[in-house]
Amino acid sequence: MLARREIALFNLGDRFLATDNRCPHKGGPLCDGIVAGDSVVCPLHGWKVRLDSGMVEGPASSGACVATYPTRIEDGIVCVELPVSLFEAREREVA
Amino acid sequence: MKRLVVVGNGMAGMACLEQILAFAPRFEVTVFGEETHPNYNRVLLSSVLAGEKKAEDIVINGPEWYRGHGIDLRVGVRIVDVDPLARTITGDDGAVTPYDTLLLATGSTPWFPPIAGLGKGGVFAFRTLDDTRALMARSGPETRAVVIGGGLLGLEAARGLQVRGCDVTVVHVLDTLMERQLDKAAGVYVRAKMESLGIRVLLGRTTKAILGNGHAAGVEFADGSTVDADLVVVATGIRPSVELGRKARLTVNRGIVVNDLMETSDPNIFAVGECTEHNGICYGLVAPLFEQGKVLAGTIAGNPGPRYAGSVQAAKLKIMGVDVFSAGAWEEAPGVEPVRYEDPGLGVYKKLSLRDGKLAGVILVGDAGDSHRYMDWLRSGANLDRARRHLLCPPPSEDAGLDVAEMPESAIVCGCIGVTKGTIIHAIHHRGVNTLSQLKEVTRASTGCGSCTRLCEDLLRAVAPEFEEEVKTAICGCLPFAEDRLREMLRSERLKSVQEVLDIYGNGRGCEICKPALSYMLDMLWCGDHVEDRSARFINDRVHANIQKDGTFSVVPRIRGGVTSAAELRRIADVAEKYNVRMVKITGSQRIDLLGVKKEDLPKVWADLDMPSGQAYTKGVRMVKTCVGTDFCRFGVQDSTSVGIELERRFEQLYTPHKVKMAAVGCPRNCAEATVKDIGLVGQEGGWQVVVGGAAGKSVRKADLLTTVETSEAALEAAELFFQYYRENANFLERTYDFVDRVGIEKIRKETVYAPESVKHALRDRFARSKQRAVDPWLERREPRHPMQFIPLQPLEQVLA
Ligand SMILES: Cc1cc2nc3c(=O)[nH]c(=O)nc-3n(C[C@H](O)[C@H](O)[C@H](O)COP(=O)(O)OP(=O)(O)OC[C@H]3O[C@@H](n4cnc5c(N)ncnc54)[C@H](O)[C@@H]3O)c2cc1C
Ligand code: HEM
Ligand code: SF4
Ligand code: FES
Repeated sequence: MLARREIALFNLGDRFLATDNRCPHKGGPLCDGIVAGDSVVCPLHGWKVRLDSGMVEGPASSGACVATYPTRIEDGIVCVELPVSLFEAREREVA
Repeated sequence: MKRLVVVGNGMAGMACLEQILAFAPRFEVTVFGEETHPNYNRVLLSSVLAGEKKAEDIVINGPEWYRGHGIDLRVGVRIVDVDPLARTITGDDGAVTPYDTLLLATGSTPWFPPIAGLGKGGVFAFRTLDDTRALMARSGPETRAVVIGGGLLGLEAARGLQVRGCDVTVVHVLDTLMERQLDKAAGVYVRAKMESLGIRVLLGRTTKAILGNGHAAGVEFADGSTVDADLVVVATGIRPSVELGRKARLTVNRGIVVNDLMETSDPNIFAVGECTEHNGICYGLVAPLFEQGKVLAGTIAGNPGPRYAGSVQAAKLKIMGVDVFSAGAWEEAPGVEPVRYEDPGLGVYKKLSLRDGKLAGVILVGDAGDSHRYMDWLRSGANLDRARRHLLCPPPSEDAGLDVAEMPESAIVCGCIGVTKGTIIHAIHHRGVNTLSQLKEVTRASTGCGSCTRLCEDLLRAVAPEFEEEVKTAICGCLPFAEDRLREMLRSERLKSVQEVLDIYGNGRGCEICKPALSYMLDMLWCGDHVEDRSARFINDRVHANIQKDGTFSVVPRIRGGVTSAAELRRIADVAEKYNVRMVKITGSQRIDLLGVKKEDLPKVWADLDMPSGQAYTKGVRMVKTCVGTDFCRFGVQDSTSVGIELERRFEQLYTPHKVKMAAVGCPRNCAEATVKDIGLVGQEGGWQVVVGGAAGKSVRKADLLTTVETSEAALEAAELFFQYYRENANFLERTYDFVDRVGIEKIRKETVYAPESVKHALRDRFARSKQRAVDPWLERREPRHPMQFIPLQPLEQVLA
């Protein structure tokens, strides 16, 4: 969680993917969903969100998406690359 | 009418006979078969052994087909002699039958290498339905099985036995598996796959003897080493059954020699199938037999059509999760260009052999999804120079229909039966075919090894006006099985975790539909002794509370029978205040709901409540609603309160296909609405009515009477039988009201309360075992499954600190 933004990190077995933890439908906690292939299914109303692109797969008509963040593994530690704006927002919050 | 006599009631004989009847139904037909079964699909015996199909599922033509065509079928008779001059045959029962035309379709028999002790008990071949049944009867957990032979048949037998619980070793005489279909490199991949399934593979071993005193106890190899075994399957090859050909003085080499019109050296005798030899080749797969059958039918019916020019041999290993496909001449030779792709990490190996710009052979391991494309190239002899860039990695096609659209009408879709795209399209347009099963019935396509099912469906989808997807019966796209099939398959399997099931039977990934369903199924089948995977569960079952729209949770403690105490109420009130619970609500189920609890507070709330979980969040036992009954009510005739509490105590903490709500009432006035519950006990003068399948939710349904009993204990027992029966037979997310409607109360009665004592005992036993392992999930507050189970996301500062 950074500057009130929750980041969800998914372990897909062969890689890690990071997205915002807010479902574009009604803000459901994506990290509590069930992973189905490369997507996660939101626990609240079952929207299906692709973890690599952030696009909502179902319902197809929604056209909505969530933010995704690049990840990499360094010395066994998962690193998530976050935008500078988030850190600035936090600075402002702290100030 | 001319007399046509067919010897051999197998695949080739009957496929050919079907064609003959279609051309010229003017024969008086008699069929002799040594096996005492109607004509069945031998190819699918491996699936029967592996529990994926039942014996009755693989029948091709049942007795009614023979009757309908006026065919005289004589099963259990072995023909032992032919007199080509008198034109008669003789059976082992001594009966002599005259013929005008004789068709030999005697197939082949297993061939055994010189191994001492093959006659011992516990040594089997794998060729017939009877062999398969015998293997099924002898195999099981704790059985050590050795399969001699590392070809297609041996590997399928090994996998089938392993699925049945055996500890399996495959022994092969050469140093590479499936050498007739695969090159060495591909053999290595297949070996790794087999080993990853838990099957031991011993290569380069010549088996010398079966050890054991009268019954197999092990096998001994030429190098003196041994392996223990209770069961030995010999799958070392087949030899054409040519004995009758010799008796009839036909030309016989390895097989009965036939020409391009499928004629033998005697004008009144024909042969088809594995017993024949054409151009020096004896085939051992079904596709060539069907092609031969078509040609021969024309010849016998007197209007010869196209000649038989030999077949492209294609083989597919029918082991779920081990994709292996091989066709044509893949061997490396001068003038042959091999094109290879391999990825050891993924276990994928593909090789194409090109000759003069055309495809000559192909091997696919690990991913045989494109096999039809290659078969098409092989059969058509298309020049591939322009497709060169995309030989092994086809350009991604936008929609699945495109592939099918591109296929020419003459392209073969089902290689086993030899059905072309044109035939299928004709069936769709002119015979009203809209579903896969109709297509199977009309054209037989996809009734062989099943590898063309996807292609057939794509075609139907693209062409049929009212295509109906039948995958509805499958759980979801990840697992191509209906739930009842899957339950049966898993029952005989040793798979204990969702991931294992997905790896072996599915796409290895799973989704939100199949994962929770499989989680339930494994828990039920293993009576709680499965490998629990929380990532396969819905969030409610990860934290044992009901997620609300704002991401907080609701907590409903168990209040059995709706009876609580002042002390419990006081604790509930304290918890509500301490954790700022947003709403305290009396539920419709006679209990109390604390709404708006934060995830991280859940363990503390449960500890302070010191009450077990009411499981209001899961597919499991909810509550037993009761009325006050005899204790207080002036109408009461049964003690509904204590019986209700006991009912809840017995069933609580067990998971069910969908939620189970129950009630017990003290008299037919039914104050706690027992007749609209999944299970209801209705008190009566001198006994109880046990009713099931009621509902008063989205659907409203009055429960059906299961039985009427005299004592409270008998009522609880009847409820228990139904409860376990529902757990074992309902589909996931099927409420009792749908279940009872679907199955029918009569059948349910017969299989529960009116079932033989042994059946009831087995149900009770599995119930008891599940119950023994069931625990209050809220105890995970003391030992979380996972360090982060109840921890919400943390601010970055805290994580870094
Ligand atoms: C387990 C298993 C899996 C297989 N998997 C595949 C596969 O995936 N793909 C594939 O293409 N092929 C497969 N095959 C091979 C395929 O089943 C055979 O090629 C095919 O069944 C041969 O057909 P047929 O009619 O020539 O012989 P059969 O089907 O063997 O029929 C011959 C029949 O004739 C009867 N008979 C023989 N002699 C006499 C007599 N003297 N009197 C009366 N009756 C007699 C026999 O009892 C038998 O029923 C598999 C075979 C087995 C055993
Ligand atoms: C997300 C939606 C829902 C939630 C979170 C929810 C939650 C609950 C809870 C917690 C209870 C009390 C259970 C108990 O005490 O064990 C309950 C009872 C009940 N719910 Fe729901 N429910 C939901 C949707 C529905 C729907 C859609 C229906 C009907 C169409 C329904 C019908 C009932 C009925 C009839 C009861 C009372 C059961 C009885 O007294 O026998 N619920 N629900
Ligand atoms: S169901 Fe009968 S016994 Fe129970 S409270 Fe109602 S009237 Fe009384
Ligand atoms: S909030 Fe995710 S589906 Fe509604």
